[in-house]
Amino acid sequence: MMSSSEGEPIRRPRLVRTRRGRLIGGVCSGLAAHFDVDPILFRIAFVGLAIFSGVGIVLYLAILLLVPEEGVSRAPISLLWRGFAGEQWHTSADRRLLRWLVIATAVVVCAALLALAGAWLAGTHAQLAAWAVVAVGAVLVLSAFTRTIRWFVLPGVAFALAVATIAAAHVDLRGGVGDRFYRPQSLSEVHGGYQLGAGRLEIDLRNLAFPAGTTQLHVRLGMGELVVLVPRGVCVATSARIGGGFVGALERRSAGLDVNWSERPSPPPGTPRLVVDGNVGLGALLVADHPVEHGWGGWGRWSGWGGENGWFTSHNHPVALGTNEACFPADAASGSPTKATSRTPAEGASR
Amino acid sequence: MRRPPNIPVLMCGIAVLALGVLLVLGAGGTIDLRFAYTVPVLVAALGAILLASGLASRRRGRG
Repeated sequence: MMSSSEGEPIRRPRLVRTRRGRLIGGVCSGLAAHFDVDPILFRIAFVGLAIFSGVGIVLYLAILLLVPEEGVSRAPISLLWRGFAGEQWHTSADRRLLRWLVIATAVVVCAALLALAGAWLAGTHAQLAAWAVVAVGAVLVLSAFTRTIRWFVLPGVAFALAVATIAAAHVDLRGGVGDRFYRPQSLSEVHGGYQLGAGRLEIDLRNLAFPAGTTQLHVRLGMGELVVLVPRGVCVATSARIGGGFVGALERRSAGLDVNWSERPSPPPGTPRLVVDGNVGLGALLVADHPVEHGWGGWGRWSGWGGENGWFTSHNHPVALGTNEACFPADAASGSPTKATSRTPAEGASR
Repeated sequence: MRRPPNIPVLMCGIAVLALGVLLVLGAGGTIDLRFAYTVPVLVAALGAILLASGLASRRRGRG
Protein backbone atom coordinates (compact mmCIF):
# COMPACT_ATOMS: atom_id res chain seq x y z
CA MET A 1 0.00 0.00 0.00
CA MET A 2 1.30 3.50 -0.86
CA SER A 3 0.31 7.01 0.22
CA SER A 4 -0.87 9.84 -1.98
CA SER A 5 0.47 13.38 -1.65
CA GLU A 6 -2.48 14.20 0.62
CA GLY A 7 -1.62 11.28 2.88
CA GLU A 8 -4.50 9.09 1.74
CA PRO A 9 -3.57 5.48 1.15
CA ILE A 10 -3.63 4.36 -2.51
CA ARG A 11 -4.76 0.79 -3.10
CA ARG A 12 -3.16 -0.93 -6.03
CA PRO A 13 -5.60 -2.98 -8.11
CA ARG A 14 -5.27 -6.73 -7.69
CA LEU A 15 -2.67 -8.27 -9.99
CA VAL A 16 -4.53 -10.06 -12.79
CA ARG A 17 -3.85 -10.76 -16.44
CA THR A 18 -6.01 -8.24 -18.21
CA ARG A 19 -8.16 -9.00 -21.24
CA ARG A 20 -8.18 -5.46 -22.57
CA GLY A 21 -4.95 -4.39 -24.26
CA ARG A 22 -3.31 -7.79 -24.16
CA LEU A 23 -0.92 -8.97 -26.86
CA ILE A 24 -0.36 -12.58 -25.82
CA GLY A 25 -1.46 -13.63 -22.34
CA GLY A 26 -2.19 -10.26 -20.73
CA VAL A 27 0.89 -10.47 -18.46
CA CYS A 28 2.47 -7.12 -19.38
CA SER A 29 -0.82 -5.23 -19.53
CA GLY A 30 -1.80 -6.77 -16.16
CA LEU A 31 1.50 -5.80 -14.54
CA ALA A 32 1.19 -2.31 -16.03
CA ALA A 33 -2.32 -1.89 -14.65
CA HIS A 34 -1.16 -3.10 -11.23
CA PHE A 35 1.81 -0.73 -11.06
CA ASP A 36 0.05 2.06 -13.00
CA VAL A 37 2.70 2.39 -15.70
CA ASP A 38 2.72 1.98 -19.47
CA PRO A 39 2.65 -1.71 -20.60
CA ILE A 40 5.37 -0.95 -23.13
CA LEU A 41 7.90 -0.78 -20.27
CA PHE A 42 7.15 -4.35 -19.21
CA ARG A 43 7.10 -5.53 -22.84
CA ILE A 44 10.55 -4.08 -23.48
CA ALA A 45 11.83 -5.60 -20.22
CA PHE A 46 10.45 -9.07 -21.03
CA VAL A 47 11.72 -9.01 -24.63
CA GLY A 48 15.15 -7.77 -23.50
CA LEU A 49 15.39 -10.48 -20.84
CA ALA A 50 14.24 -13.09 -23.36
CA ILE A 51 16.84 -12.10 -25.96
CA PHE A 52 19.84 -11.70 -23.69
CA SER A 53 19.36 -14.55 -21.24
CA GLY A 54 16.12 -16.40 -21.92
CA VAL A 55 14.93 -15.47 -18.41
CA GLY A 56 12.17 -13.33 -19.92
CA ILE A 57 10.43 -16.37 -21.42
CA VAL A 58 10.61 -18.34 -18.16
CA LEU A 59 9.39 -15.35 -16.15
CA TYR A 60 6.54 -14.69 -18.58
CA LEU A 61 5.39 -18.32 -18.48
CA ALA A 62 5.63 -18.37 -14.67
CA ILE A 63 3.42 -15.27 -14.33
CA LEU A 64 1.08 -16.67 -16.97
CA LEU A 65 0.56 -19.80 -14.86
CA LEU A 66 0.57 -18.18 -11.41
CA VAL A 67 -1.58 -15.09 -11.98
CA PRO A 68 -5.32 -15.47 -12.64
CA GLU A 69 -7.02 -13.90 -15.59
CA GLU A 70 -9.29 -10.89 -15.09
CA GLY A 71 -12.70 -12.06 -13.86
CA VAL A 72 -11.41 -15.51 -12.87
CA SER A 73 -10.67 -16.32 -9.25
CA ARG A 74 -8.08 -19.04 -9.78
CA ALA A 75 -4.71 -19.10 -11.56
CA PRO A 76 -4.14 -21.62 -14.39
CA ILE A 77 -1.70 -23.54 -12.17
CA SER A 78 -4.45 -24.27 -9.62
CA LEU A 79 -6.64 -25.64 -12.41
CA LEU A 80 -3.83 -27.92 -13.54
CA TRP A 81 -3.24 -28.99 -9.94
CA ARG A 82 -6.90 -29.87 -9.52
CA GLY A 83 -6.73 -31.85 -12.72
CA PHE A 84 -3.76 -33.87 -11.45
CA ALA A 85 -5.58 -34.40 -8.14
CA GLY A 86 -8.50 -35.95 -10.05
CA GLU A 87 -11.02 -33.19 -9.26
CA GLN A 88 -13.66 -32.11 -11.75
CA TRP A 89 -13.47 -28.98 -13.86
CA HIS A 90 -17.11 -28.08 -13.85
CA THR A 91 -17.53 -24.29 -13.73
CA SER A 92 -17.64 -22.24 -16.92
CA ALA A 93 -14.53 -20.33 -15.79
CA ASP A 94 -12.70 -23.64 -15.39
CA ARG A 95 -13.71 -24.76 -18.85
CA ARG A 96 -12.71 -21.41 -20.37
CA LEU A 97 -9.32 -21.60 -18.65
CA LEU A 98 -8.84 -25.18 -19.79
CA ARG A 99 -9.67 -24.25 -23.36
CA TRP A 100 -7.23 -21.35 -23.17
CA LEU A 101 -4.47 -23.64 -21.82
CA VAL A 102 -5.04 -26.17 -24.61
CA ILE A 103 -4.90 -23.44 -27.27
CA ALA A 104 -1.78 -21.85 -25.73
CA THR A 105 -0.01 -25.21 -25.57
CA ALA A 106 -0.97 -26.00 -29.16
CA VAL A 107 0.34 -22.61 -30.36
CA VAL A 108 3.66 -23.06 -28.50
CA VAL A 109 4.08 -26.62 -29.87
CA CYS A 110 3.22 -25.38 -33.36
CA ALA A 111 5.82 -22.57 -32.98
CA ALA A 112 8.51 -25.05 -31.86
CA LEU A 113 7.76 -27.43 -34.75
CA LEU A 114 7.74 -24.61 -37.29
CA ALA A 115 11.06 -23.30 -35.90
CA LEU A 116 12.61 -26.76 -36.33
CA ALA A 117 11.18 -27.07 -39.84
CA GLY A 118 12.49 -23.58 -40.68
CA ALA A 119 15.97 -24.43 -39.40
CA TRP A 120 16.08 -27.62 -41.46
CA LEU A 121 14.72 -25.91 -44.58
CA ALA A 122 17.19 -23.02 -44.28
CA GLY A 123 20.09 -25.46 -43.85
CA THR A 124 19.18 -27.54 -46.90
CA HIS A 125 17.23 -25.24 -49.27
CA ALA A 126 18.18 -21.66 -48.36
CA GLN A 127 16.37 -20.02 -51.29
CA LEU A 128 13.13 -21.89 -50.62
CA ALA A 129 13.30 -21.05 -46.89
CA ALA A 130 13.78 -17.35 -47.67
CA TRP A 131 10.73 -17.30 -49.93
CA ALA A 132 8.77 -19.18 -47.24
CA VAL A 133 9.57 -16.34 -44.80
CA VAL A 134 8.27 -13.82 -47.36
CA ALA A 135 5.07 -15.88 -47.63
CA VAL A 136 4.70 -16.02 -43.82
CA GLY A 137 5.12 -12.23 -43.67
CA ALA A 138 2.45 -11.79 -46.35
CA VAL A 139 0.04 -14.07 -44.43
CA LEU A 140 0.62 -12.04 -41.25
CA VAL A 141 -0.02 -8.75 -43.07
CA LEU A 142 -3.22 -10.20 -44.52
CA SER A 143 -4.33 -11.53 -41.13
CA ALA A 144 -3.91 -8.04 -39.64
CA PHE A 145 -6.72 -6.87 -41.95
CA THR A 146 -8.93 -9.96 -41.80
CA ARG A 147 -8.34 -10.52 -38.03
CA THR A 148 -8.73 -14.25 -38.56
CA ILE A 149 -5.51 -16.12 -37.68
CA ARG A 150 -3.94 -13.99 -34.95
CA TRP A 151 -2.65 -17.18 -33.31
CA PHE A 152 -0.27 -17.58 -36.28
CA VAL A 153 1.87 -14.61 -35.11
CA LEU A 154 4.02 -16.62 -32.67
CA PRO A 155 4.60 -19.67 -34.95
CA GLY A 156 5.22 -17.38 -37.94
CA VAL A 157 7.79 -15.28 -36.08
CA ALA A 158 9.46 -18.43 -34.65
CA PHE A 159 9.78 -19.81 -38.20
CA ALA A 160 11.26 -16.55 -39.52
CA LEU A 161 13.75 -16.24 -36.63
CA ALA A 162 14.92 -19.84 -37.06
CA VAL A 163 15.48 -19.32 -40.80
CA ALA A 164 17.28 -16.00 -40.15
CA THR A 165 19.60 -17.59 -37.53
CA ILE A 166 20.56 -20.49 -39.79
CA ALA A 167 21.03 -18.17 -42.79
CA ALA A 168 23.14 -15.65 -40.85
CA ALA A 169 25.37 -18.45 -39.53
CA HIS A 170 25.68 -19.90 -43.07
CA VAL A 171 24.74 -23.32 -41.75
CA ASP A 172 24.80 -26.02 -44.43
CA LEU A 173 23.00 -29.11 -43.16
CA ARG A 174 23.72 -31.21 -46.25
CA GLY A 175 26.08 -34.13 -45.76
CA GLY A 176 24.26 -36.17 -43.15
CA VAL A 177 23.63 -36.13 -39.41
CA GLY A 178 25.49 -38.01 -36.67
CA ASP A 179 29.02 -38.70 -35.46
CA ARG A 180 31.75 -39.33 -38.04
CA PHE A 181 35.33 -40.35 -37.37
CA TYR A 182 37.99 -40.53 -40.08
CA ARG A 183 41.60 -41.70 -39.80
CA PRO A 184 43.02 -41.43 -43.35
CA GLN A 185 45.97 -43.65 -44.15
CA SER A 186 47.19 -41.74 -47.21
CA LEU A 187 47.18 -38.11 -48.37
CA SER A 188 45.01 -38.98 -51.37
CA GLU A 189 42.13 -39.60 -48.95
CA VAL A 190 42.52 -36.07 -47.53
CA HIS A 191 42.40 -34.17 -50.81
CA GLY A 192 38.64 -34.45 -51.29
CA GLY A 193 37.93 -32.80 -47.93
CA TYR A 194 35.27 -33.75 -45.37
CA GLN A 195 31.74 -32.53 -44.83
CA LEU A 196 28.95 -33.21 -42.32
CA GLY A 197 25.55 -31.55 -41.87
CA ALA A 198 25.11 -31.79 -38.10
CA GLY A 199 26.85 -33.73 -35.34
CA ARG A 200 30.48 -34.43 -34.54
CA LEU A 201 33.12 -34.74 -37.22
CA GLU A 202 36.60 -35.87 -36.15
CA ILE A 203 39.52 -36.27 -38.54
CA ASP A 204 42.65 -37.84 -37.09
CA LEU A 205 45.69 -37.03 -39.26
CA ARG A 206 48.31 -38.07 -36.72
CA ASN A 207 49.23 -41.27 -38.55
CA LEU A 208 49.90 -39.51 -41.84
CA ALA A 209 53.40 -38.75 -43.11
CA PHE A 210 53.24 -35.23 -44.57
CA PRO A 211 55.69 -34.34 -47.35
CA ALA A 212 57.60 -31.05 -47.42
CA GLY A 213 55.48 -28.29 -48.91
CA THR A 214 51.88 -27.35 -48.27
CA THR A 215 48.96 -29.76 -47.89
CA GLN A 216 45.41 -28.38 -47.88
CA LEU A 217 42.55 -29.83 -45.82
CA HIS A 218 39.01 -28.54 -46.47
CA VAL A 219 36.49 -29.32 -43.75
CA ARG A 220 32.88 -28.16 -43.46
CA LEU A 221 30.32 -28.70 -40.71
CA GLY A 222 26.82 -27.23 -40.52
CA MET A 223 26.20 -27.52 -36.81
CA GLY A 224 28.12 -29.27 -34.03
CA GLU A 225 31.74 -29.99 -33.23
CA LEU A 226 34.55 -30.37 -35.74
CA VAL A 227 37.87 -31.73 -34.49
CA VAL A 228 41.05 -32.03 -36.55
CA LEU A 229 43.90 -33.92 -34.84
CA VAL A 230 47.24 -32.94 -36.35
CA PRO A 231 50.65 -34.61 -35.97
CA ARG A 232 53.51 -32.89 -34.18
CA GLY A 233 56.32 -31.90 -36.50
CA VAL A 234 53.94 -30.29 -38.99
CA CYS A 235 53.49 -26.53 -39.10
CA VAL A 236 49.73 -25.94 -38.95
CA ALA A 237 48.04 -22.92 -40.53
CA THR A 238 44.33 -22.48 -39.85
CA SER A 239 41.79 -20.43 -41.68
CA ALA A 240 38.23 -20.70 -40.43
CA ARG A 241 34.82 -19.10 -40.61
CA ILE A 242 32.43 -19.75 -37.72
CA GLY A 243 28.91 -18.30 -37.92
CA GLY A 244 28.44 -18.58 -34.16
CA GLY A 245 30.58 -20.51 -31.70
CA PHE A 246 34.20 -21.20 -31.00
CA VAL A 247 37.45 -21.79 -32.86
CA GLY A 248 40.54 -23.14 -31.14
CA ALA A 249 43.70 -23.87 -33.08
CA LEU A 250 46.47 -25.24 -30.86
CA GLU A 251 47.54 -22.31 -28.63
CA ARG A 252 45.09 -19.73 -29.92
CA ARG A 253 41.33 -19.39 -29.64
CA SER A 254 38.43 -17.08 -30.40
CA ALA A 255 34.69 -17.19 -29.86
CA GLY A 256 31.54 -15.26 -30.71
CA LEU A 257 29.42 -14.48 -33.75
CA ASP A 258 30.79 -14.05 -37.29
CA VAL A 259 34.25 -15.30 -36.31
CA ASN A 260 36.70 -15.06 -39.19
CA TRP A 261 39.95 -16.66 -38.26
CA SER A 262 43.20 -16.71 -40.21
CA GLU A 263 46.46 -17.84 -38.68
CA ARG A 264 49.20 -18.42 -41.20
CA PRO A 265 52.55 -19.15 -39.55
CA SER A 266 55.44 -20.08 -41.82
CA PRO A 267 57.50 -23.24 -41.43
CA PRO A 268 61.29 -23.43 -41.55
CA PRO A 269 62.59 -24.74 -44.92
CA GLY A 270 61.95 -28.45 -45.39
CA THR A 271 59.21 -28.62 -42.71
CA PRO A 272 55.79 -29.83 -43.93
CA ARG A 273 52.94 -27.37 -43.67
CA LEU A 274 49.25 -28.22 -43.25
CA VAL A 275 46.61 -25.61 -44.05
CA VAL A 276 43.28 -26.37 -42.37
CA ASP A 277 40.47 -24.53 -44.13
CA GLY A 278 37.40 -24.93 -41.91
CA ASN A 279 33.83 -23.71 -42.13
CA VAL A 280 31.40 -24.26 -39.23
CA GLY A 281 27.92 -22.73 -39.13
CA LEU A 282 27.07 -23.06 -35.44
CA GLY A 283 29.42 -24.87 -33.07
CA ALA A 284 33.14 -25.36 -32.67
CA LEU A 285 36.22 -26.02 -34.74
CA LEU A 286 39.16 -27.48 -32.86
CA VAL A 287 42.62 -28.14 -34.19
CA ALA A 288 44.54 -30.14 -31.59
CA ASP A 289 47.55 -32.41 -31.38
CA HIS A 290 45.91 -34.77 -28.88
CA PRO A 291 42.36 -36.09 -28.38
CA VAL A 292 40.10 -33.58 -26.65
CA GLU A 293 37.14 -34.15 -24.38
CA HIS A 294 34.04 -33.48 -26.44
CA GLY A 295 30.60 -32.16 -25.60
CA TRP A 296 29.70 -29.26 -23.32
CA GLY A 297 32.04 -30.40 -20.53
CA GLY A 298 35.01 -30.34 -22.86
CA TRP A 299 33.96 -27.01 -24.39
CA GLY A 300 33.86 -25.42 -20.95
CA ARG A 301 37.31 -26.71 -20.15
CA TRP A 302 39.25 -25.89 -23.27
CA SER A 303 37.45 -22.67 -24.16
CA GLY A 304 37.80 -21.20 -20.70
CA TRP A 305 34.03 -20.72 -20.45
CA GLY A 306 32.01 -22.23 -17.65
CA GLY A 307 33.66 -24.41 -15.06
CA GLU A 308 34.16 -23.29 -11.49
CA ASN A 309 34.17 -19.58 -12.36
CA GLY A 310 30.75 -19.67 -14.00
CA TRP A 311 29.61 -18.95 -17.54
CA PHE A 312 30.90 -16.04 -19.60
CA THR A 313 34.16 -15.73 -17.71
CA SER A 314 36.35 -16.15 -20.71
CA HIS A 315 39.79 -16.30 -19.13
CA ASN A 316 39.61 -19.00 -16.46
CA HIS A 317 42.64 -21.11 -17.33
CA PRO A 318 41.65 -22.53 -20.71
CA VAL A 319 43.22 -25.86 -21.62
CA ALA A 320 45.77 -25.74 -24.46
CA LEU A 321 44.91 -27.82 -27.49
CA GLY A 322 48.57 -28.28 -28.38
CA THR A 323 51.61 -26.39 -29.58
CA ASN A 324 52.54 -25.32 -33.07
CA GLU A 325 56.21 -26.01 -32.40
CA ALA A 326 57.13 -26.90 -36.00
CA CYS A 327 56.51 -23.29 -37.14
CA PHE A 328 58.80 -20.34 -36.51
CA PRO A 329 58.30 -19.55 -32.80
CA ALA A 330 56.52 -16.42 -31.60
CA ASP A 331 58.57 -13.78 -29.77
CA ALA A 332 58.48 -15.10 -26.20
CA ALA A 333 59.01 -11.67 -24.57
CA SER A 334 56.21 -9.78 -26.27
CA GLY A 335 54.00 -12.62 -27.32
CA SER A 336 53.93 -11.16 -30.80
CA PRO A 337 54.85 -13.25 -33.82
CA THR A 338 58.30 -13.13 -35.35
CA LYS A 339 58.86 -11.58 -38.76
CA ALA A 340 58.57 -14.93 -40.49
CA THR A 341 55.20 -15.64 -38.90
CA SER A 342 52.06 -13.93 -40.05
CA ARG A 343 49.16 -14.42 -37.68
CA THR A 344 46.04 -12.40 -38.21
CA PRO A 345 43.12 -13.79 -36.22
CA ALA A 346 40.15 -11.50 -36.74
CA GLU A 347 39.85 -10.61 -33.08
CA GLY A 348 37.75 -7.57 -33.93
CA ALA A 349 34.92 -9.77 -35.10
CA SER A 350 35.04 -12.04 -32.10
CA ARG A 351 33.96 -11.69 -28.52
CA MET B 1 -17.89 0.33 -41.47
CA ARG B 2 -14.66 -1.43 -42.27
CA ARG B 3 -12.59 -2.31 -39.18
CA PRO B 4 -9.06 -0.90 -39.00
CA PRO B 5 -6.19 -3.40 -39.18
CA ASN B 6 -4.62 -4.86 -36.07
CA ILE B 7 -1.54 -2.62 -35.90
CA PRO B 8 0.83 -4.90 -33.87
CA VAL B 9 0.06 -7.87 -36.15
CA LEU B 10 0.49 -5.64 -39.19
CA MET B 11 3.88 -4.41 -37.95
CA CYS B 12 4.87 -7.98 -37.20
CA GLY B 13 3.92 -9.03 -40.72
CA ILE B 14 5.81 -6.14 -42.30
CA ALA B 15 8.91 -6.97 -40.20
CA VAL B 16 8.79 -10.66 -41.19
CA LEU B 17 8.22 -9.67 -44.82
CA ALA B 18 11.25 -7.34 -44.73
CA LEU B 19 13.33 -10.07 -43.09
CA GLY B 20 12.21 -12.47 -45.83
CA VAL B 21 13.35 -10.04 -48.53
CA LEU B 22 16.75 -9.77 -46.80
CA LEU B 23 16.97 -13.56 -46.65
CA VAL B 24 16.07 -13.88 -50.34
CA LEU B 25 18.84 -11.39 -51.21
CA GLY B 26 21.25 -13.29 -48.95
CA ALA B 27 20.36 -16.68 -50.43
CA GLY B 28 20.78 -15.26 -53.94
CA GLY B 29 24.25 -13.95 -53.11
CA THR B 30 23.31 -10.27 -53.57
CA ILE B 31 24.24 -9.44 -49.96
CA ASP B 32 26.44 -11.25 -47.44
CA LEU B 33 24.06 -12.05 -44.60
CA ARG B 34 25.78 -12.14 -41.20
CA PHE B 35 24.79 -11.79 -37.55
CA ALA B 36 26.45 -8.37 -37.55
CA TYR B 37 23.71 -7.13 -39.91
CA THR B 38 20.76 -9.34 -39.00
CA VAL B 39 20.81 -8.78 -35.21
CA PRO B 40 20.45 -4.95 -35.44
CA VAL B 41 17.68 -5.40 -38.06
CA LEU B 42 15.83 -7.82 -35.76
CA VAL B 43 16.18 -5.54 -32.73
CA ALA B 44 14.94 -2.56 -34.80
CA ALA B 45 11.96 -4.64 -36.01
CA LEU B 46 11.20 -5.65 -32.44
CA GLY B 47 11.31 -2.00 -31.37
CA ALA B 48 8.92 -1.05 -34.19
CA ILE B 49 6.47 -3.79 -33.15
CA LEU B 50 6.57 -2.73 -29.50
CA LEU B 51 6.14 0.91 -30.45
CA ALA B 52 3.18 0.09 -32.70
CA SER B 53 1.55 -2.04 -30.02
CA GLY B 54 2.06 0.73 -27.43
CA LEU B 55 0.54 3.36 -29.72
CA ALA B 56 -2.36 1.03 -30.62
CA SER B 57 -3.19 0.29 -26.98
CA ARG B 58 -3.00 4.00 -26.13
CA ARG B 59 -5.41 4.78 -28.98
CA ARG B 60 -7.77 2.03 -27.76
CA GLY B 61 -7.63 3.51 -24.26
CA ARG B 62 -8.52 6.94 -25.60
CA GLY B 63 -11.33 5.63 -27.79
